[in-house]
Amino acid sequence: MAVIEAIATTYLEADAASVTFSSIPATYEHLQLRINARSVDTTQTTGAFIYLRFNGVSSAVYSRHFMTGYGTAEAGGGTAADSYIKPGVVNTALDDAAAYSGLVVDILDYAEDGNKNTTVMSHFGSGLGYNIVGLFSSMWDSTDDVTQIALTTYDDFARGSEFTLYGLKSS
Amino acid sequence: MVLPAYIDASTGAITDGEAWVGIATTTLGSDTASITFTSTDDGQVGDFSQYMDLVVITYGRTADGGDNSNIWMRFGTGGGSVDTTNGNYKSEYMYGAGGSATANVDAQPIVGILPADNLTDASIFGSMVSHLFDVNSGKFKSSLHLSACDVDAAGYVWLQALTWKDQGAITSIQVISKNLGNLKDGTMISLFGILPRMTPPSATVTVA
Repeated sequence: MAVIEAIATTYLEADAASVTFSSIPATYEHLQLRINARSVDTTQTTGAFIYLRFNGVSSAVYSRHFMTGYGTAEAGGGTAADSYIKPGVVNTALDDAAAYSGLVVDILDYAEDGNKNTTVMSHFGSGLGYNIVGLFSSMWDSTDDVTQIALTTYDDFARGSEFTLYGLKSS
Repeated sequence: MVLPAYIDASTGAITDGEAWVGIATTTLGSDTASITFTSTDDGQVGDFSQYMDLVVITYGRTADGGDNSNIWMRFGTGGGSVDTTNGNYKSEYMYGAGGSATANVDAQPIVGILPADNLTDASIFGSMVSHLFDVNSGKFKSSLHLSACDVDAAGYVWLQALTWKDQGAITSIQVISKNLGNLKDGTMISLFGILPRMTPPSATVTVA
């Protein structure tokens, strides 16, 4: 058995509102999402957030803290209860047509069927267009196993956006 | 010819084994100006064209003056040399040093920071993990770089997003000090290829 396995990859051949991974096997210790994406949005001058929900849960059970650099401004903050996780920000249609943003999203101990919440750590950024880098930490206030990950953004994901879910296991 | 491990040698079928493939590691035995990884373009492990992403892991130090050096990562395509035109690279970064944080944009291929030779402790090296996304696409090439180092009682933690404004596939990667001091003896850099899922997925993917 491999230590790191690619579970699923999707490469958008057309603009799409959402990408959802479901029936995620519980056979790994951690998950990692690697994303290279952009939004078709034309209104968000500071980039378009990606929104992530687990298992279809849309109630205010997600919290986060963040650090960002945006141009010459540094910022930090947090939200105690939100209806989604924001793992990062991607380029939009306001930016060069070839500009896509990279994100690495680690989802820790997602299948521990017990008393621990699921923690998400992500970093992202683009050096072209909206100029943001960020390091985010989020928590899903639930002890359920993660079996589904749904991703949306402000408006649609643009054609050419790519998403791969990896599973990590030590043995 | 040695087949990549994801091809079953007996059947020729594609399999999904280890998604992270070790391509190469270089550990310097003497001070050296730069380290460059070049795609072998032969269908074997070192051929960058088979990977979705690349990851570069650096543990290094430079021979520059001062206690730290900014590090450049430059890319090439089409089998040619790396692109040395600073204006073809754009980035955003933020870093923390002591009690302060700084953010800014840049128009050169800086990706992070490593210790340099003015440190009294010669054994201090710094770490950097670089993610290069969708390296064979027709997109501009985006990358994320996390680095950190101690510099004798001070230190840095650094996050940088770099875009190379070129739509060609990446076929070479160079790591070099911005100030052109050598990379020090003992610097170690590893390159990994990150495969996508190539067979039917083990989870359901819905695009709506």
